[in-house]
Formats: sequence, C-alpha cells, structure tokens
Amino acid sequence: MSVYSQHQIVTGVSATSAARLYCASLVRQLNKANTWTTLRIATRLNVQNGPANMYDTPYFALGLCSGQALPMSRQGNTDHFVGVRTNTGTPAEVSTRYNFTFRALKKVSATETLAASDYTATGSFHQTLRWPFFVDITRASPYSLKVFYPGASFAVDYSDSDFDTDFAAATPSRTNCVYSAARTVSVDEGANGTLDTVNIYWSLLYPYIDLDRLRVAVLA
Amino acid sequence: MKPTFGIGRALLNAPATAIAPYAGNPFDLFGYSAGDAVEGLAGGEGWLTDWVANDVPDTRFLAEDDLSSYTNGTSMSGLSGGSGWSGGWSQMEATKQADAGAPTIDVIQIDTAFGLGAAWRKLAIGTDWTRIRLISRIRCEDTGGAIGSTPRIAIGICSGTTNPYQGDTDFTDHFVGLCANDATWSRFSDRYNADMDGLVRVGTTNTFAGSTGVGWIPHTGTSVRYAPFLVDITKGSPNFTVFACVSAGATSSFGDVSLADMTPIAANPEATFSGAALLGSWSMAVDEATNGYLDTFNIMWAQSNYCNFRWAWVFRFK
Repeated sequence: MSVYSQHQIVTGVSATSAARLYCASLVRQLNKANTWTTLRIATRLNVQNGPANMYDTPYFALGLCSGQALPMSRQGNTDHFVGVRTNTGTPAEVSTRYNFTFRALKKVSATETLAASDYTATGSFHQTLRWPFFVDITRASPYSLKVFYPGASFAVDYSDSDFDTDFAAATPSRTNCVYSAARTVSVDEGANGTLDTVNIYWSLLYPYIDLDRLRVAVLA
Repeated sequence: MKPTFGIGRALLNAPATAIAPYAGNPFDLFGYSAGDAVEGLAGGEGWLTDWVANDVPDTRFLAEDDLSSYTNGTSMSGLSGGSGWSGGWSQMEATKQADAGAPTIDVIQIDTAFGLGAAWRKLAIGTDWTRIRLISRIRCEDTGGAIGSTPRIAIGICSGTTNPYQGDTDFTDHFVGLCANDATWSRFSDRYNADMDGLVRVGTTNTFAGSTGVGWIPHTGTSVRYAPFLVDITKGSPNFTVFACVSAGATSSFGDVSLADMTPIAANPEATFSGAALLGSWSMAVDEATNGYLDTFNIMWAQSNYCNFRWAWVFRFK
C-alpha cells in the first residue's frame, strides 16, 4: 500500500523526528507482557494542519492489543484491543488545534464495547505544539483506564523535561492538563487474547499525526 | 549516544515506587533516521519484536494501487495488486514500467503506435458511490515540439470492463471524466499545456462540458516531475458535477508532486494545494440507466509518444 507510517522530521521542531501516521496501526510487542497490573503508555504528538473539519469520526487510539496480526482499526476486524480512542464525529479546527472527546473501549473482532461515558474534559491535538497523551490501564474487574492530556487552556510545547516529569509521576499533575477519573471496561484476556502489544492507531490519511515519543512503564 | 531521533522505547518493568529513577534515563535517544519507514525499526529496549506498521484504509480511501508489486515490462493485463478493486487490470498498450529517469518510480506506461491506449480496473464497490475522486499523476514523453491533431489524455470512470474509453476511434460503452480537449498542445521546456474539459462519452460520441482550463503535463525533457491528474465526480439527477485539478500555475517552474503534496488533496473534499489548480467545475447530463452504470477506473492516452501514470487512487465521499 502506498500510505504507511514513516519516520519524519516534525515540522517546526528542530532536531526532533517522529513516526508519521497516515491511516496506520502501529504495533510492537512487549517482552514482559504479563508482568503488570497497571501499565502506562505515554506518547507525545501533534497533528498536521488539515481541513477545517475532520470527517467520519476519526480515530486516534492508544492502548494494548493482542498480538500484531489484527490491531485496532476503525473499519476492520481487531483481535483484541483495550485502550482509549477519540470520540468526536467531525472534529473542528479551532485556531491551531483540533478538539476531541475521548472514550475508553475494548474491541473484539468487529465489535466495540465503549465505556459508559466519555472522559469529562475535552482534549486537543495541536498543529504545531507537541502535546502529551498518556493512557494508564489497570487489570481489575472490570479493567480501569485513566488518561492524561492537555485541557482547553494548555498552550505550550510539552518539552522533553515535561514528559520526563509526568511520565515518572504516579499521578501526573500539570497546569491545564487533565489526569482523568477512571473509566471502566470489562475485559476477558483469557477468552479474547492476552494484551501484550502496544498499539497506536490513526484512521485518517489527511491530516497525519506525528508521534515523537513513546514510553511504556509498569506502574504496578 | 546519538542525538534525539526516533520514537521511543521501553517497558519499565518496575513497581510503582520505582518510576522516579527512570526519569533521568535517555529513553528516546536512539538512532532512527528521518524518512525511514517505521516498519521494521528495532530501537529501544523492552520490546519482543520490531515495529510493525499495519496499513489501515482511511474511511474514504476506497481503492489504491501503487504498482510497486509488479515486474517492469509486463503487460498490465491481470495484474492485481493494491486493494479495493474487483479483479485485476485490463489494458490496451499499457505496461508496468519504471520511470526512465527514476527507476524507483513505478508507473503504468501507455505507449501506443496506433492511437488506442488505456488501462482500466473495476472498483470493488461497484456503483455504490455518490461522490468519487479518481487520482493519478502524469508525465509524458517529450517529442521536442508541439503535439497536434487534438491529443487526448483522460481520467475518469467507465461502465464495466468491456468497452472503456481507449481513444476516439474506438467504441466506449459509457465514460465520465476529465479529458484534454485542445487541438494542439503547446510545448514548454518542462511541460505541455493542454486545455482540459469535462467529458461524457457514449459510443463514439464525446460531449464536452465546453468550458476548459489549462492543465500542465510534465514531459521527459526536464527533471523527473509528476503532476496531479484528478477528477471528482458527484452523481446528480439528471446532471453529474465534475471538477478537476491538475498542475497549473503562473510560472514555468514547478516541482514534482510528492506523496506529502498529494495526500491533502486526495483525502480532502475541499482540496486545493500549492502548485495545482482547480480547472473547473462542470454540470453534465449523465444517464447511467440508459448508458451503463459507472463502476470502473479508467485512464486513457492515445498518442504515439508514451505517457506514464503513477498511482491509481480512488476516494469516495458518499
């Protein structure tokens, strides 16, 4: 296929490069997949200056999937995915950002099971500023998912040191950022597949997303 | 230690109380190079595998073929790479080639000695579309002078795979798209200029919209450049709306249209981009019930110098 994730220089950010996602589901399997109770997946990203309104409920999804064969996708089948995705039908360009709501979910085969409600705060992806998006997943009954992302008043580039600080904090705390209350999803890894693979997904060809940091931590 | 390149790494296999010590570690400092495909990159620690990049179609990205899976010099007949198609390619004087000036560029080359040339391929969705966008990029052989006798180049959608648009001397079941409609193409140092127009063709009758815009067709007399060749068709009753975009501009210098240039215009229904121009928007009477339902991607070139078509992309805006 002629569109795929490429590693690119992030526009406007010198000496930084990123995975550029065009309709791609990036996966990589962890080498100690089952030794966690709470796992943090931390990213930093920005979005291309695209159309006035995106379309067709674009999915940015971050979480874990089972194996690498059928990861998260909006239209196709997915072996097993648990994480958080955007949940806005036609995200509008507001100044130099796109605003989204977020929802925890699982997807098994073609069926999505969404958490009962979106995370409370609206979040954004910025066109020129690199902003964080973290997901913390806790194995429990049901599984519990928290997210960390900029709120409406966040307006600065999220630096390497910001990333380091918040990544290392059990409860990330930063002015104008949100560390959400948990949302829950019932998950059955025994039946649907062990969640052993980090999965980042973006559903659109235009605009693309540049993702320049990714770390994973076992919190518990 | 290499400078900051690369998407990051690391499973920190440590309890919560041990998070803090990792903050000082250089997790993201490993040497991927800009421009690499992410697929197969293997930097970092804590991973069992390399990165795998699964291509997942855009919700509007209907069909594509980047031609990369075919052997150079083979007929396009039956080649079936890409996705979103029903069956393989059919062709008249069309072969898979690499661009003579850039061997990494995969193209459909139409090179005809007797005035009929085309490639066509049916869409998997058949007629299930309301608005469809058909895209390629083009570059033709330089003849060294102007080209007369009303040369044709076209991109559009035809009905079925039996009688596509292969040239004006051949029978066509039904075709709607963009077509050059200019008695003589003017030659410049880097391109030909040709008036382009909306076309509905039934049988051997061409019905042009009658309002043209100038399109640029890069030629081989200069550095390798491909220009967008795009037509966007919206069903109506009784008229279809056709708009088109090709390279055109105020100067004689223009660059190659890259993937990065092309993706915004391809996926964006209100697309415009630097170096290209909206040729026109035409309302044209189309009768699918009588003349055949439009379901097949169709490119056409009916001249003795060759033309390269790079990519076949189709988007649907329902």
